[in-house]
Order: sequence, then structure tokens, then C-alpha cells
Amino acid sequence: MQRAPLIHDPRFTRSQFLRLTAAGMAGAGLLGSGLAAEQAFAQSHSGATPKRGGVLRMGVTGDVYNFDAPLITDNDSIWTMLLIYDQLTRPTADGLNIEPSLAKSWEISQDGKTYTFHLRTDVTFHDGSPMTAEDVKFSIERCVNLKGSQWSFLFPGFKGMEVVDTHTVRAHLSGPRAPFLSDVALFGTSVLPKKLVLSQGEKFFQHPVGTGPFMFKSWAKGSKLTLSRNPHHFRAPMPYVDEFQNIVVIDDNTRALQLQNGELDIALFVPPAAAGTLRGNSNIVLHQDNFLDSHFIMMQNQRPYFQDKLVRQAMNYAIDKEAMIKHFLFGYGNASGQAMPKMFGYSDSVPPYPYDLAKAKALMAKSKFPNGFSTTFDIAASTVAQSKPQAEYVQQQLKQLGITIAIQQFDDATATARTQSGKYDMQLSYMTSDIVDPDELMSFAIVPHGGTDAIWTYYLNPTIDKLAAQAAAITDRAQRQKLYDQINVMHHDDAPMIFLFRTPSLTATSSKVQGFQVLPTGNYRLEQCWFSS
Amino acid sequence: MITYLLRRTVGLIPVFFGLSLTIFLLIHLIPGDPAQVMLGFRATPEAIARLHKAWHLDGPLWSQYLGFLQRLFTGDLGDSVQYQAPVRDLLETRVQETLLLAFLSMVLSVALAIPLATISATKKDRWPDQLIRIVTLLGFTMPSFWLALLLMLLLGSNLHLVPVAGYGDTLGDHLYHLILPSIVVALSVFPLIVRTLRAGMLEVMSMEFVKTARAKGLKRRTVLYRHVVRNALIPTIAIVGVNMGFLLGGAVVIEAVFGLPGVGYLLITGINQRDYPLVQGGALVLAMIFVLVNFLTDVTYTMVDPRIRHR
Repeated sequence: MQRAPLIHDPRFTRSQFLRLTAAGMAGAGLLGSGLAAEQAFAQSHSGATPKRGGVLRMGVTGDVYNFDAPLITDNDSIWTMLLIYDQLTRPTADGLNIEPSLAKSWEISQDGKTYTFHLRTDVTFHDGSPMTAEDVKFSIERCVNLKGSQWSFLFPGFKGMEVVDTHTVRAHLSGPRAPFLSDVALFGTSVLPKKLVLSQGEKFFQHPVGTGPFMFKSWAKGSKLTLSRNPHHFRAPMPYVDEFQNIVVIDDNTRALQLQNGELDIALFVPPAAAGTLRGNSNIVLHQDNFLDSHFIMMQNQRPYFQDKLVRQAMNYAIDKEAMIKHFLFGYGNASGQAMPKMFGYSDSVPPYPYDLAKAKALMAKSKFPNGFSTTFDIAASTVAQSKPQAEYVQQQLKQLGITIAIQQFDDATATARTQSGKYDMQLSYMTSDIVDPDELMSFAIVPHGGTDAIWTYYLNPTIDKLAAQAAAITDRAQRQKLYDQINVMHHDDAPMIFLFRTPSLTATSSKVQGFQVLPTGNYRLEQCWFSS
Repeated sequence: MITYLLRRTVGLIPVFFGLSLTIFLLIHLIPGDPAQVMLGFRATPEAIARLHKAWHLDGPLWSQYLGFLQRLFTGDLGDSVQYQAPVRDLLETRVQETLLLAFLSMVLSVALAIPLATISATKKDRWPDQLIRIVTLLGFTMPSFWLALLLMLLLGSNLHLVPVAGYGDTLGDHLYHLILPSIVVALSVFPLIVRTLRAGMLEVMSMEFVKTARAKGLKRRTVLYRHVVRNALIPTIAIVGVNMGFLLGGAVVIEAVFGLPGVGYLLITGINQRDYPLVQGGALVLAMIFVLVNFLTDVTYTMVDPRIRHR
């Protein structure tokens, strides 16, 4: 999950992402082999059998900061880390469910308080040592208990892990928790070699060792990270390429040009403006994948004028989402009327607020502020190229309601501090999910007492608090969805934010690259990639 | 000459202390706490205090400054907060890249500027002069990032003569990758040199001693290069020096466009994340290089014009 300005759009800048885990299904129903599906995927695009070899060069927006998973919140680090480390479970490629990874199967006790995981027996770390239940216990407990861990909040009621035997490990919870299976898919719980971490200390994370498809080779900080193929990976024959290079190219257009010039094989986050040109190039494939994101404008609901629901609704009606999509996103987007990305927990029944200036003016006239008011709009320096035109558009639109907006630019650290202390009035923001359970995004952005004051909108609604707590404690997916529907309807109507749109992820690859896909969670499984000649 | 150099060198010491203090104060006086930024919304007072201790951010400001100086003298610029790696290591390759780019662009600009300025000055107000003036005006006013994109498309994407971006792994590879960025930077810097040099030459050419030199039978070419250019070079060297300094930290846009891992971009991310050690170390190193470049500029003056060292 992410929000700006603390967390920026990864398309534009280095981001400090907050990503959440989850997956709604809790059960052993889908223990089918993800492996077969994946190999099938690798083949499906060309119909050919994957070939070994080659160096895969990917242009990214920012470098990895650190490989100590529980401490990390930024996407560049997270997505790269997922190539080196594995977790007990992982989200399915469609982003809807959870599938086995290091755990080949699991059982959940009747009371929902005990999870028993059966580990694969054929997994070794990059240094050749076998992966055991001890390592799993160490890693998950480390994620929960490590000082400075960003992710312990995902484990309420977690009592500890118990080693049953070398390849069986058990998690004990104080109560049932529907998202638990996806909590252990979180990168933060990546399984690390206990002995090495303990003996090497912080040095370990400068030269990480995991069980994943790629092994750490070299790292020129800030510019290039090189990973080599793990020949002993348990998803053999994957990975297909010999080497992977994560190359930092800050400028969006440069990444696209380098791809055209054959200096890169994959360019992440293609600017929508360049997508048209790339589409016409027969040597390049443009991937437009579903991305679990949601854009909106945060409002500080404690401001007297934002306390008035009629004002908030009027503002929602006064913004033309379609126009914004057309002009700012070059059409790559869908208008939205709710905070949730299109995933489990999203409600099809909640439509976007239509653009209706007459209605907006009527609502405004009925409100306590019929003549409008003056307010401010924060933008963070590093996102200014994208956020300023959008803020100016909003400024122009709302002027028609008598609302005067002063746009203020802050450096990122100041902008973050203003947000988290509730000192801002309005700002653009967005969040993504690398998860498939709505519990955490709900807590983060919608539920008033979820821990972050509903993404610092200071929205209050006791009914939503109650419904969200209910939804997290039951495991039936359909029942949970019903509760989330109720929440979304209420949140839409109360409109504590201006709902904007969702965007797809745009990635361009050389047409020689086969098997590439950006998952809805934003990361990519490069072990599936191979080069056709 | 030696005493002049010594005098100038001793003069660098207070400059260094002034710089270190200014840089230290500037970054510490901006509101915003790196621990808060790093920990995000899950920051607790304990976690913040722990990070402050680890980063030497506890204690009064003056003791933090003394600590900073002390570590500085042992060659320790501290560890970057965001990369959790020594600032020295982070700066090493980047400073090399930035210097290489600045140096190449300067050589290219000067090589381009001297003949053009000479032609321009000797053919004053005739068509070669007019043409050169138009070209330099264009070069000067064209935004460099736009020029960069055009050249990337032309020389990189279409003609495949040079790589579009990146830095490469070996020295030869570095030079190869820097061709395009150097051209772009040179194109935006050389007009300034041409204009200054041209103006200087015109001024010198109108002087009596030039007429004397011609009158005593020296060849036109000899007069031009031995007397005119040399005398007109003084203000030009100043321009080159200042621009060289500017390129060290100011080539951020070019670095970003060409995907070069330079100091400028590193510093910007550092500032955004309130990465004190990184910003302090980076700014100090850049500032010192700037001071050195100025020092070298002064030394070059004295070589071109011996009168200066006697003043």
C-alpha cells in the first residue's frame, strides 16, 4: 500500500511504499501446483518451449535501499527482494488468491488459531545449506519482533512459531485471523538462513542469501544490481536466464529510448505519453497489466469546511475524472468512486461520482458554506511534475464552487510530516496493494480507527469500525465481501476524500522477451522470462 | 610563483572550515527529521531515539558538528541513512563520473569555442560571424534536456552510433557512454565561451600593440594567436572555471536524462530523505572540488598572464 507524499508514485520517483499483504481465502482448497501453471504461462505467449540463457536487463526507477526485509517499505527494494527470497506462501498470478511456495501445503485448526505448514524438502539456500523449519520460525518471528520492523502491525495476536520437525512448522495465534495465509506471503517474512544472519549480522544484508530464483552477485549502489541464476532453485527448470541486471534509469523517456535502442530488455513504468510510440514499434511489446491501485485526493476532515458532508460531496461532483484520465493519463485509467483498488473487497455496485457541476453547485448552496471558502493543497517536491498540473486542474474546477485553493509545494520530508500530523488541508494521494486481502487497505485508508486515522483524513464513522472488525474475523469470502460492500457504500456517500481513478501498469519489453508479466501486486516473476531468438 | 601558490593554499583552510560549518548548519536547520522519514507513520519515540543515537543526531548541535569534523579528519564521511553504506563508497564512483563528464564537456567546449571565436572575431559582422552568432545563440537558449532527447533519438535510436544512456563498466566503456552527454553539455556551454572570447579578442585587436606587432612585420596569424588570443583568454578562463564548477553539481538534469549515476542526483534523493550524512558528505566534497577548480583557474591565470602573480 502506498500513499503520497510519504510514498510517491513509483512511476515517477523513488517511492517509499507501504505494501500490505493478504489474501482472503483461508483453506487448503487450492493446493494445486502453481508451478505447472507458471510453466504453462511461460510457454503460452509464444507457444514455444522456454529456452535457457541470456542476460535480462531491466530499467527501473530507483535502486534497492536495503535487503533487510522487515525494515523495508519502498517498492524498488521489495520487488527486487522478491527475486532473491521466498516466503511460505505467495499470491497467485491473478492476484486473487494464495498459493503454496516454500510451504507445499497447510492445515488450519477448527478454531482458526493454529496453522500447520508442511515445508518443501527440496529447498536449499544459495550457500547450499538446506532450508528448514528453524529458518522459517526465525524469519517470521524476526519480522514480527525485530526492532524497527515496519510490518509487525500485520500480526496482531501472533503468539509465535513452533518447530514440529525439520519440515513442519506451526503458527499460533490468539484468535482467528482471515488474512493470515497472506500475511506469511509478505516479503517481510522472507525465509532467511538463520545461521548466516546470526553470524554475519548487518553485513548479511549487503550480500543477501535466500532460496529464490536469483542469487546476489554484485551491487553498484544507486546504479546497478546484478543477480545470477540460482541453478538449484526448487522451481527448476526456472529461472531460464543466466543473469538479471536491475539498472536504475531515473528518466522515464530515457528508459523507453534505451529499450528501443536495445540497451535494455524491459523498461518498467513507461510514461503514458510514450506508450503510443512504443505501440507502433514491432520490436517492442507494450504490456498493460491490471494493477491494484487507487488514486484520490485526501481531505483533512477536521477542517470546519470539510466537516460538512455536503461540501465534500459537492467537491466530488465538481471534478471531471474522465477529463483527468484523458489529459493526464492519456486514457490509461478508469474513474473510481471508492478507495479500494479493483480486488477482493472492491464493490462493483459503487459507481464513480459523475461530473455534474449543477448538482455540485446545488449541494454547495445547501451546505454551511454556500459562498465557498479558502483552503490549501500540498504537493511534494519530488512529484511536482505530475502533481502540480493535476492540482492546478482541481484548483480551477473548485473555483466554480467558490473554493479558493492555494497550492503549496514542500520538500518530501516536510510534506510527509505535515500529512502525518494532520497539518495539510488537501493533497493528491494514492495507494497500491501487493496483496489480495482487503483487510489492510481498509484499515489504512477507510476504517477510522485502523491506526492511521483513515489515511490521515480523520474520517469518523463507528459503523465502519464495527463492520471492518467483523470482516477480519470471519473466513467466508462471500460474507466478508458483503460487509466490505456495506463499508464501501458508506465511505462513498460520506466522501471523506475525492475519489479519482485507477491506472494499469504500463511496461514495455523487447519482443524477444517471453513470459514476462507484471502481477497486479506490481512485482514480476522474472524466473519465468526467457529469450526467443 | 611559489609564494603565490603557498599563499593561495593557506587561504583554502578557512574556506574549508567555513564550508563545513555552513553545510552542516544548512541541512540541520531545515525542518524534518530523518528518523521520522525513515520510520514512516509507524515511528515510535523509542525507535526515533535509537536512530538518532546511531546517526550521531543526539546531543547539542555544536557537539554534533565537532563529531562531524572529527570523523571528517579520519576520512569518515559517515554512513548514508537510506543506503546504510559508507558515504565515501557511494560518492567514489559518482564523483568520478561527474568529474569525467565535466572534464570531457569542457575540453569539447573549449576545442569548439576557440576556432569559432577566432573566426567570428576576425570576420566581424561578415556572414561567418553572423552564422556563428546565430548558432551560439541557439545552443545557449535551447533547453539541454530537450537537446539531449533529440540527440538521443538521432545519434542513438536512429543511427546507432552511440548508446542512448548508461555509464558502462570499464573506463573505455565509460568514455563511450559519455560521448552523447558531453556533446549535449558542451553545446550548452560553448556559446558562452565563444561570446566572451570574441568580445575579448575584438577589444584586444583594437589596441595599439596589435597594430605595432603588425607594423613590425609579424604575420597576421602569429599576432592573432600569440597576442590577441592570449590576452583575450583571461576572462574566458574565468568563465570556463565557473562553468566547470557549475557542472559538478548542476548537471543533475543531464545525469537524470542519460541515466548517469552522478553526484547531483544522489544529493537530491539525499535531501528528500533527510539523509544528513549523505548530503553533508556529498555537498562538502562537491564544494571542495569547486574550490579546487577555482584555485586551478587562478593558477592558470598566472601562467597565461604573469602580471597577476605580482599584484
